[in-house]
Amino acid sequence: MRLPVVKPLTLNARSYDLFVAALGYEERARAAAEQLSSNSVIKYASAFGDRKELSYAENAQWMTDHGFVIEEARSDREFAANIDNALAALGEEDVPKICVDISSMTRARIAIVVEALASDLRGRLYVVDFVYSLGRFNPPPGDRVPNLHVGPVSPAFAGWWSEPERGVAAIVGLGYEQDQALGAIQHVEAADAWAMLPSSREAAYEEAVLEANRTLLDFIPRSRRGTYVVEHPFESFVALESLVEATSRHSNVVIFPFGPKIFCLLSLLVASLHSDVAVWRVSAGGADKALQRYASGVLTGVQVLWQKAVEESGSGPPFSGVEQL
Amino acid sequence: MRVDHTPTIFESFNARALKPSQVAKTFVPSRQFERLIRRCHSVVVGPRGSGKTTLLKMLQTPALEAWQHPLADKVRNRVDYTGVFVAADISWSEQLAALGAGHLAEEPRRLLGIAAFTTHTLRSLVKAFIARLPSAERAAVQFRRVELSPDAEATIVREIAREWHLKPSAATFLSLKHSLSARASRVAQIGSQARFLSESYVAEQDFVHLHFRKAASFAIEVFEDVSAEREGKWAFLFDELELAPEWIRRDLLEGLRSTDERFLFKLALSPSVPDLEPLQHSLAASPGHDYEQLPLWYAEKREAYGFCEQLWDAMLEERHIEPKSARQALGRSYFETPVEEWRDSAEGTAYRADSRIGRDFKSLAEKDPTFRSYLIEHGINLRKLSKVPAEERAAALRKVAPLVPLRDFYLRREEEGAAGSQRVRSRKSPSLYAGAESLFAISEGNPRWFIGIVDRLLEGRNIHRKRVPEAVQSREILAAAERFTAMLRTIAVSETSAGLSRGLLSLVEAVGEFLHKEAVLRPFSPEPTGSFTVDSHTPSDLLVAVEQALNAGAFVYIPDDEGQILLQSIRGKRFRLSYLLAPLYGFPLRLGPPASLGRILREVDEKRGRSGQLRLIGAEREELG
Repeated sequence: MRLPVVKPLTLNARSYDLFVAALGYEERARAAAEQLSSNSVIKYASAFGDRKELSYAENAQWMTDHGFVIEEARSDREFAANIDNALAALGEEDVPKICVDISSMTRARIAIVVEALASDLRGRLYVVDFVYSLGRFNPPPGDRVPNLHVGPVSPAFAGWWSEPERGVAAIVGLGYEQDQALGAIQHVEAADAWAMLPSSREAAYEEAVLEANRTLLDFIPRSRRGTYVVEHPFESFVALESLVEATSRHSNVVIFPFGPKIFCLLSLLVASLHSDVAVWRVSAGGADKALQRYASGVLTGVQVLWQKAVEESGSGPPFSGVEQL
Repeated sequence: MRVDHTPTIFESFNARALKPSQVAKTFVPSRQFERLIRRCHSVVVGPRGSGKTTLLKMLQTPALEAWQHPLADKVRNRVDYTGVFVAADISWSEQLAALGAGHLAEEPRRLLGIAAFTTHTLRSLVKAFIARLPSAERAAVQFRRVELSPDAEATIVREIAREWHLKPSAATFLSLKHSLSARASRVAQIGSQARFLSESYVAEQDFVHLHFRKAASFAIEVFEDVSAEREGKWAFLFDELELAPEWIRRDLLEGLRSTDERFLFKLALSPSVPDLEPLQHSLAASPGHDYEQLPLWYAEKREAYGFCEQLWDAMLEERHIEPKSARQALGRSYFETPVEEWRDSAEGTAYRADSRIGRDFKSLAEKDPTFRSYLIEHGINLRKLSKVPAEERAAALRKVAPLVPLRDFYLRREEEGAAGSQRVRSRKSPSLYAGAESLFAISEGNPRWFIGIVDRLLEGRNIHRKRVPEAVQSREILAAAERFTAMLRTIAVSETSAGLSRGLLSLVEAVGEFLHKEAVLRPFSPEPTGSFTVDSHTPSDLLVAVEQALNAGAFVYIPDDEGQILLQSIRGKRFRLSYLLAPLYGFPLRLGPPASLGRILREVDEKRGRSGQLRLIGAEREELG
C-alpha cells in the first residue's frame, strides 16, 4: 500500500472532483454534504441495503435533490467494487481532489475506502479530505446484542507480526459501551494496554465513556491513558502515531478504535504507515438497535495525500505542517 | 503523550509476553507439570488462562536453567530434551487467515499460510539452538549447553541455510534467525501484493514447499553431527493449536504418531477443538500409549487447593511479604467447616447449637419453612445438634451445610403479617464468597484468575493487617467476575439461518440464574441441580456457544472417563458453571447433580416471557465498603 501523508484540514466548500457520503439512518449523514458538497463535480452516496428507518428517507430525499448519485451496497464486497468504480470514473485530473464523509460509514467501509485509495492500481495520486460530523450525545442502548464480528477491520488491516512470540499491546480508543474495551483487551490477551479517551464539545460523552470503562480504567495506570480531542484530529493522529511507533518497538500492536469514528480513520492511517499494526473491530453486524445521531455542529477532519510508494518518493515524515506534539 | 514502559498488571496475567527466565522466576510446579516433563508426546488441554503457555515455556532451556525451586534440580535431571517453543495467539491466527484474502485463490493462500507457519517454527528452532550455546553471563546452572566454535557454528548455519533456501548475511545463528524474520515479512508482502502477481507466483517460491518437520529434522541432524551432541531429543512445544489453520493442526496431531525418534510433540489445546473427528485415528488408540492427555482444570474444586496454596506462597515471596498462609490472611470460607469448631469443643463436633454451623442452621430455619420441613423430616432438633449420631450427621447435615449459608444469606426473615412471601436480596452478594477456600474454588486453580485476584489483595496495607477485610476480598472477587463476563460478552457468535443465535453470555446467564433458583428460590433440597448435560438433540448453534464457553473457561467439563479429556463431541457430556461466576449469580461452590441444558433454557426463557425482562446481571454496581 502507498503511504499516506496526513495534514491538518481547513474546512471550506471547495471544489471537489468527487464527494463521497454514506446514506444512512442518522440525521448527521448529510451534515457534511450540506456544508461542503455544493461545488463538487461528482456527488456519490453509498446506501446500505437495510435499516431504512429514522432519518433515512429524509437523507435520501435531500441527496437526490442535490445531485447525488445513490448506489446501494448490500455487502462490503459490493461497496468495495462501487468505490473502485467511483475512483475509476474520475476524469484525467493530475491529482483528483476528493472529499469522504465518514460520519455514517461503518468502520469496515472506512477501511475499504482507505485501502482503495492506498492501493490504487492506476498509481494515481489523490488529495483526500476526510471529514467527520460529531453526533449530538445520545445515550447508548441498554441492551447489548451479541457480537458477530471480532477481528481485523479488514484483511488489509490485519497487521503482520514477524515475531508472534512478542507480547500484544492493545491501544484502545474508548467508547461508551459498557466494558467493551475491557472485553476486547482480554480477548486478544494483551500484556499491555493503552486507553485513549475522546474529548469533545459534547461533554456528556466523556462522562458516559468514563462510567462505561470504570473497571478497565481501574487497571490502567494514568501513565497509560491519553486524551485526544475529536475536534483536533491532526494532533490526535500525531499523538497516536507516536504512541504506536514507540510501542511497536517491543510489542505487537492491536488498535481497537471504539468511540468516535474519526479515531477509526486515524488508526487506519497509522496502520498504513506501520504495516505490522493490526486494527480490529467489534461489531454486532447490524443486529443492534438503530440509534439516531443528530449533527452537533462539530465538523472536523484531516487531509491525506497518497503519494507514490516509498522506493519512488524517498523517505519523509508521515505528517507535515505542525510540530510534533 | 509520554510513553511509559513500566509493566502493567495485564502483563502478570499472561505468560505469552514473558521471557522464559521471567516465567521461571515465579513458576510453581503442579502435578500436571510433573507429568508434562516426561519423555513422551503430550497434549495439554485447558481453557484460557489455565497455564498452558506457562507450562510449555518452562520446558525451554533458558527457563529450566533459570528456575530456582527445591524441585528444579530433580526436574533438570529428568528433562533430556531441548524445548522449542512455538508461540501462537488469536491475532496471529487472524493474520494467517488474512494472508492474500480477496486476491489469491485457495491453494496459493494455503501455501502462503504454510510458509508463514513453517518460517515461524524454524525461527523458533534457531532460537532453541542459540539457547544451547554458552551464555555470556555464565549462569550458575548450565543446562544442556554445548560448546561450539565459530567455525562449527558457521558450518551448521551454511548447511541449514542452503537447505532452507536462505541467504543470511553472516554464518551465525543470529543472522539465520534474522533472515527467517525477513522471510516472514516477505510472506506478508507477497500476500498484500498478490493482485499484481501471476497466479503461479506463490508456488514458484522454493521456500513455500518446505515442510517444517523435514526442514527441522535436517537442521537438528546437522546441529547434532557438528556439535557431536547426540544425547537427548527435541520437544516441539506448540501453543494454542486450536487457533492454527486446520491443515496445520492435522499435521501436528498426526505428528503424535511420528516415528522420528528425535522428536517429541507437546501440544496445547482448548478442550473443544474443531475438526478433531478426522483425526480419530491419531488420537483414539493413543492416549496413554503414544501420548498423554493432561487436563488443566479441576472438576472437583479441592483438587486445586494444593496448587493455589503454593501459588499464594510464591506470590508473597516474590513481593517480599512476610509469609502468611491464605487461610491466615483471608480467613475461612463460609462453605468450609473450620477445624477449631470441632477440635476445641467438648463434644468434638462442629455441629452444635452454639457453633457457627449451628447458628447458620437456626437462622435459616427461622426464615425458611421448607428448610424447617427438611429438619423435621430428618428428625433434627437444632437445640440438640451435637447429639445427632455421626452417620445421620453425615447423611442429613454435613451434605447440606454448604448450602445453608448461601440460602440464608439471600433470604430475608419472613416478616410477621406478610403473606408467607420471602423477599430476596439482590443476587450479587459476593461477601459470602470471601475466605481462602472460596478464593481457591472461585479461581478454579486457573493461574491467570488466581493471580488477577490475589495481585490486588496483596497491594497496599491490607495484606499486613491481621486479616484482609471481607469487603476488600469481595470487591476483588466481584471485579474478577465482571472482567470475565466482559470478556465473554466480546466473543463473537455465529449467525444461523434462524437469525442471530443466543449470545454466549446470555447462555451463561441463563445457566447461572437456573442454578441460583435451584439453590435459593425453590423449596429446600439437599441436592439442588449444580451441573448440566448437553442433550443429543441440542441445535448446532447452541453447541457452538457451549464449546466457546468451555474454551473460555465459563463452563467446566466433568469427564466421565478420566482418560478421554479431548472432546470430539459435547453431546451427552456433563458440565458445570465456573465458580468464578458464583458471586455474580449466587450459586453454591459445589458440584450438584445435572439437569439437561434444554430444560434449563426452556425454564429460563419461559420465566422471562412471563414476567418481563429479568434484571440484567452487571447492569448495576453495588457499592461495597
